[in-house]
Amino acid sequence: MEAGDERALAALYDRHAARLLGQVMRVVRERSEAESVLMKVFLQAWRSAGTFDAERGSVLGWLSTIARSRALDHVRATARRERREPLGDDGAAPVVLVDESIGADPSATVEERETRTRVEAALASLPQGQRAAIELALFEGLTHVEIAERLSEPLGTVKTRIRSGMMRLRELLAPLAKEIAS
Amino acid sequence: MTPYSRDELLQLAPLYAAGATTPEETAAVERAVREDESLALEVAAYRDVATSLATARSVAPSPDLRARLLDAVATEKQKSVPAAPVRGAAVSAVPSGQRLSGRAPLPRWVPVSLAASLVLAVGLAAGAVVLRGELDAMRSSVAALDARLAARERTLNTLLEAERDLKVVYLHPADGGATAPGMQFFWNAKQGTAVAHVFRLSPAPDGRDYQIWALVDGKPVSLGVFNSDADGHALVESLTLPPSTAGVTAVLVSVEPKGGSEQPTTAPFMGGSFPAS
Repeated sequence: MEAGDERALAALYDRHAARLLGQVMRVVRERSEAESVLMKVFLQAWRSAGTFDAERGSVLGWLSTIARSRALDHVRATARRERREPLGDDGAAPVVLVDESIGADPSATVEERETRTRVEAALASLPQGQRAAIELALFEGLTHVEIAERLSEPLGTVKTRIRSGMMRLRELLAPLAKEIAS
Repeated sequence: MTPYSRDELLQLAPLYAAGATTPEETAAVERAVREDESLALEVAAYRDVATSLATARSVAPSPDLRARLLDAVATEKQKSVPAAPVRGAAVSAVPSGQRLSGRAPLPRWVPVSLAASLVLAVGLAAGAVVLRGELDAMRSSVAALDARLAARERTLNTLLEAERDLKVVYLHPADGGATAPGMQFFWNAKQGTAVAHVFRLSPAPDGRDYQIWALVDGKPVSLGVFNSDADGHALVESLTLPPSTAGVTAVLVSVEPKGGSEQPTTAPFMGGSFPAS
């Protein structure tokens, strides 16, 4: 039975790790740090299996929520640390390493590439204001109040943009989104 | 009791799924979905959309990461393996649903074949049933406290961070005496946030709400809808403000159909002049 726990975790990892690493890297950017966050995501999932409710959402949705939270925690902790630490001798700001593999994963299957293309095309079809507000929420962890402040837009406008954008994406992606999450 | 109507919760569903709700709104949605199946389905549909957006870009992990994860799990399991039971004290005597004190519960995952995540999902859910009630109650309690704390922080922030940009409007009925209802309206022009404190105002009649308006260049602009509690109090924080205070001359309150109106449909029953800059 105990070996079964690990087999279950391994099965979960094999099925979802690449998608979750892609998600984490959109927030954390640097691969080694993103992989460290991904480890924490799966360890948290293993420790807190009791919080998963199959009636309330998919396994990938549950893992994705954990991944978002851990990635944002990591970025915020790094930002706090960098505020406390003085710059280097040359006064230069820390270099942010962007991993180019975010753009194209050579190991992705044709099906995965098609899925990505469809999802990104749907997002790209939204008006710029809707897309920006949704991306700030998803990848920077901002609430609608913070997004309104960041974009210098009225709160009501931002809420409407997120709502309208998500409704449109639901129309465009409904069958695919269910398939991805299942 | 959630301060949000069902319509408001439905409106919040896409924002919640995108992760854009405030802690208070998040807690309200999470409480509501436990009791409202159709709302839960609505939220789940938007969460699938958010998940597909968030996870659209696959990136293959380094080949050794899987082994490192399984090593970490094995190490953790060793640390949490219970000591051998005292002779004669059968572990099975512990009632189901009760934790062995002092030890973290091990995840109750069932073994899975290569088949998968659907089976895995069902296994996870079944294994977690015993703990879920307790966890839900704790999470709900913590979320409610978090929401209250966040609301207090926002209120304080609105009042304290404004410095010289805090505009205060005292609203009262035209013929109000010492026991008449009133409102203190605090507008932080620096942050574009506001808080309204309402007192001695009886709850609106059935099917009605109170609506706050700013008079901007002589035209009413809705700032938000509220209702007072049985004691006549309300603290209104979710207000939609114009981009600036330019042209604002007064703040007014009227009684409107539930959910509010585009324009006032009844004469405002209390108001106050907006302070000149």
